[in-house]
Amino acid sequence: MDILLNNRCLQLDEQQANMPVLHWLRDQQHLSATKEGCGAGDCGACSILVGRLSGDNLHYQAMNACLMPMGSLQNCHLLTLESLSSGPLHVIQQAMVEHHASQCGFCTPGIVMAMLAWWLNTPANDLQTDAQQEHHRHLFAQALSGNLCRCTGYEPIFKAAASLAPTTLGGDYQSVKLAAMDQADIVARLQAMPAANVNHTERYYLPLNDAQLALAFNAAPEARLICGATDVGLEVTQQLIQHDAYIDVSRMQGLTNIEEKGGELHIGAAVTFSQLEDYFKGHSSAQSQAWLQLLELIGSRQIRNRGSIGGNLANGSPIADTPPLLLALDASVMLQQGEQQRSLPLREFFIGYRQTALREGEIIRAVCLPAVPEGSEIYVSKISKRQEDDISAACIALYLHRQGEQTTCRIGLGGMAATPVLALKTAQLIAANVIDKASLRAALEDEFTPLDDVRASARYRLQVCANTLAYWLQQGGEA
Amino acid sequence: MRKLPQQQTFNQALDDASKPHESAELHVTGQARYVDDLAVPGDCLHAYVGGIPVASANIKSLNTDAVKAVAGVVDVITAADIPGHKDIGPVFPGDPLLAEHEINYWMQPVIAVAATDRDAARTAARALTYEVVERPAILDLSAAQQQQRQVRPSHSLIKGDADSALAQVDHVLSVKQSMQGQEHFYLEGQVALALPQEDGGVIIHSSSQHPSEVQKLVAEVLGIPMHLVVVDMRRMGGGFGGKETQAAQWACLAALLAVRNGKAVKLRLARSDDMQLTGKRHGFVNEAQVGFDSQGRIQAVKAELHGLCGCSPDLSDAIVDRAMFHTDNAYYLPHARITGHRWFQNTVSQTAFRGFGGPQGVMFAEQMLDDVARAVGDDPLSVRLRNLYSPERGMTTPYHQQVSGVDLEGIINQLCHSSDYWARRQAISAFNQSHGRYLRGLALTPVKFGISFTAQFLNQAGALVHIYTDGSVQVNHGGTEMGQGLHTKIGQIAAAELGLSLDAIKVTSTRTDKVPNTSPTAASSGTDLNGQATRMACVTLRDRLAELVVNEQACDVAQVQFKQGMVIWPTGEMSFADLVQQAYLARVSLSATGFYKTPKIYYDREQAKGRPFYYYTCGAAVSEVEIDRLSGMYQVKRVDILHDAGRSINPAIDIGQIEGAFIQGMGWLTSEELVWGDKGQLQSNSGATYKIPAIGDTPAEFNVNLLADSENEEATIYHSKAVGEPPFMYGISVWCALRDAIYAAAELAGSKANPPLPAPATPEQVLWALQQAEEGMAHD
Repeated sequence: MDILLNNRCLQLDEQQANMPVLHWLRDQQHLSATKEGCGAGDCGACSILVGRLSGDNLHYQAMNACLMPMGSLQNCHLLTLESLSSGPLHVIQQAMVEHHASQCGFCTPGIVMAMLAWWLNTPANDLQTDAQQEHHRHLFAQALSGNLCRCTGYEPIFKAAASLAPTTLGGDYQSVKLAAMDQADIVARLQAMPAANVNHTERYYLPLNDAQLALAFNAAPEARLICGATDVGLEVTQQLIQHDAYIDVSRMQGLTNIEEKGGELHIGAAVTFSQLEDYFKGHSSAQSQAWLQLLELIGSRQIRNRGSIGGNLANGSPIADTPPLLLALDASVMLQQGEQQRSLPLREFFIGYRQTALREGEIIRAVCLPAVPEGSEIYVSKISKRQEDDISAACIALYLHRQGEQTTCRIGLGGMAATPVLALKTAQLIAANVIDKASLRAALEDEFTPLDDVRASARYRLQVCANTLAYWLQQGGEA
Repeated sequence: MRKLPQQQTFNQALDDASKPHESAELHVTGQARYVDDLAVPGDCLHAYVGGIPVASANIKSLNTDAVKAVAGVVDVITAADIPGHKDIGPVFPGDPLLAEHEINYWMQPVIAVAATDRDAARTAARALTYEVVERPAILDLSAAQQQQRQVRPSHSLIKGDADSALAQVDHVLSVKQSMQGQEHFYLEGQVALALPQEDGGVIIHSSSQHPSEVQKLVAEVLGIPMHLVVVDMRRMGGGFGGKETQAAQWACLAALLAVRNGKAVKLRLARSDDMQLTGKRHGFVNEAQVGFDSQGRIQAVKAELHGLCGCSPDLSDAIVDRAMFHTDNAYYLPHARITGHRWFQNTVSQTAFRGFGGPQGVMFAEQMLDDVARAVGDDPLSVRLRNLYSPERGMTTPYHQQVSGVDLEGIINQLCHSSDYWARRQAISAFNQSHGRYLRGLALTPVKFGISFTAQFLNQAGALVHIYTDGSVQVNHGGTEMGQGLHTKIGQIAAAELGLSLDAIKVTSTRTDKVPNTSPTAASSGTDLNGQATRMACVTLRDRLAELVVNEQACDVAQVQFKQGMVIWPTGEMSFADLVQQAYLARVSLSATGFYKTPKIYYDREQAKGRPFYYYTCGAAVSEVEIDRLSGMYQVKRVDILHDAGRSINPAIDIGQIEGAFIQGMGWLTSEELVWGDKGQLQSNSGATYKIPAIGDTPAEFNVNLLADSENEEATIYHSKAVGEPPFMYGISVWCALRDAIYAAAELAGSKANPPLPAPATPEQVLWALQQAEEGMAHD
């Protein structure tokens, strides 16, 4: 399998393909600019850029090197800070130096890489008004949401970013050299690489279609199925589990796109959170607003560039971020086993703590969202100790459609039970127009027994859900 | 204006004093090397530690067979394999290198494994089998109190007669506060690389704030003289106190395994183990009786501070002392009795962390002031102003040092003006009256922080300066670089003294074979101590060179000037490099040491009287917060800070220290929650469960200024003031602002409730306090 590392084309062997990118960079390539701060995707010190080809277009995204297996970079451009370590400083580096934005410097390589992704992808903005500047600052904070710095308090990093705006912002790679190469050169080198082939591997299968997936399943039935591997990566770095083989479905045909079909939305299982964000940014519906509000709070930019909606479900976690909203929107999942496909309402998909209805050899193909009737109200709120890059203590989503006397109400909850759940009894109460805080809290307590854990107490989870639902029902979305 | 005790040569250089960090370009290009980035010999081994998942137990037996059976394992050691000292306690014993007879905290290391790769060592360390007899663990304050288990005896500061005064005052309030500790979360975890030498000695690259102590402990553990051990420390990826004593264990284990196996050994902890196995900031529970008049002027305080120290003394004696020294913060206490207790817990031994107990004292002072203000129904700022140290009110601290050189009222008034405090106070009140989803709060809190190690002997430093024959200069000193910009400031000092540009000076890694017997880089003292030592060495060299000029030219030493790379006398000049060449040929020594010890300080701990601090650093912060009443989640909207850095050697670096310290202090009191399980395990042991502030937590408006035209009245280096720790405590203004908003909720509900707000004030804690406020529950 082939990759382009900075300006070198390399071929990986089987063992390397299975290795975390960070490990490979530091221990095998002796490239030490990429740091290990936590080994768990929480700090961003290992941020790298991954350039992927879509037709003739290159797109670069920041990712956490600690969580990704090398095999996921097949036919990609892996850009590390070493690509910016000789010659004159890049404008980003210059700005960081001028604004005293590094202290101990350990997080700095990751920050520079996250800034590079932001710089490459943010179109030149007009920053005349306060609102525009605030928006610009917000976009930058989003881009660096996965980069912890313990020394600076971030203020000088904001100042460095502000000094780069707006004239030097890219978005158009044509004019930008990366690792001393023009885009055309990079594209040519990536296009010259042979495509991934499931027949030529024993440890890292990267099927591109159903037939290849079948071959992979056949060859390695015990292989760990991954997409973005943001959670499986933790098994490797934290629990020291060594997976002999992976089947990576992140590039399967039909899994990577979003389709609108008569008001319904079919989201391929491998669609990343970042991709979803981009999609919903182009829409202004109530549904889009709710999604954008939620998506910004899922992991960090680096995690959202890797994590997929299918992975979020297949993982079966009770605190996964998307299921509450998906449940409230009455989503279903399209499952596939060989040539068999079946559709299952999402509410039937989660069957126990980290257990799903997925059968052996079955994958999630797509998540389907039904059309949202005119006049529907959709709310979502994620509760956590920290706003960015945190796991929810509770996540609450409400779908409400009032038509005359008839109220349709669905409440999706995360963090309240062993699985993401619909609060059916509480929803019935609401449909009967009981919407005071005390009644809602009593109903939720009757329906659920949440946990006391490291993130919050059971009593807090119940109270916040009740407070939030009561507020939405009484006040609507207005502050 | 007052005549200063020292004439300085630095003024000229101050024009562009805001030099970038000496490693800034290396940082941004990824070329700055940390210990884990150093090239290692091909046969380098990787070490890891293994422990037992129990907080308190007697060890009956350890079985390492399964550990040794893991592929790649080369060596496994237990306490029995330690040739020299088995205890590495920095001041008092209590910190075994590997636990031998008893376990005192969850996963306390009992074995160390060396293997050909790190994963093998980590995997093997988990394969340990054992027999232990569990004992009841002491996991909270009440258990420690019941058993009267302290790691060190209690100690009191006494001034006047607090008991009598409390019996006579108009009002007495009970104030209670609990706050948790804090994980350092330095981005670079603990790491050491040991390289065995031909003579039985060892060279160690250790990410440590205290290389001399690592050297001493390694020598003791190996049972060899200190002269066989060299510790080299170029830079840390963050320290914050967490590498003052906590780096030694990993360095000692790496050294021991390296010498045993005759191979280089690296030991780097994974983040979750680093969090589980290394000490943190102390949690505290503080209680006091506060007596005051109807204007809220405090007359007497009788306080008990309960420091939760973990399983050994480590530095807890001095840390609890410093908490006691700062229970007054900026406020004059006519009568005070402040007692500090050092409670044992079956957790990792808690340790130094930026502020070193000071923040836990200042937190208590600020709650007292808030609570007194609520009790008398006045604005907390007005009450704070009435209580400040002042010549009228009093300047004597509870430890009988006279406060001097701080203008707290001036700073607060200036900050009040620049932050528009009173207008915003009104606007916030009006906003809260609208009874919406959000509540706002505002608070101004000052900081007065004593500068000096309270252990007098630590207030010394050495430097070694070489001039090479091309005129380039190498500076070595006892301080360590952890991001705070120490080497940058030291370089600026050497450049100023020798009249050279900064690029003529190279500050090298900290090495125990260059400057011996150094103090830790801690207590904000790095520049104060090492800067003076460097200056002394440079002055010695400059005098030698000047003497050469005097001998050849008919002039006076005072007439020889060193500036801009030139040496100038009344009748001529030459380049510094040329003079150095002449000096070399004339057989003048071009190498000198410098030594400095802080003057004026003394402290009689028996009497609890003296002058433990050379001077005070001070300043104040105003924070505004907005709380979502549905969830207790909140945002810090605006922060204004005015800080007295004296005559700053590098304003940009000082402002960076203030901004970073503020955010770190805010994190301690808001999102950073240490959650200990009922078995004594740390449950918040990763970045996923322990949340330090992220970029979005930076206040949207963040104004930080240095007090203009200030200079230290003491003869510190260029009359600057220390800056590392004091601004950490500005984070307390956020906690007070949250309480202010919660108090507003009570007032809106028509109640006088002033509920406690345990720290960290997570959204959950804020929500409960809001509920109590609205339900009118009384304080405590």
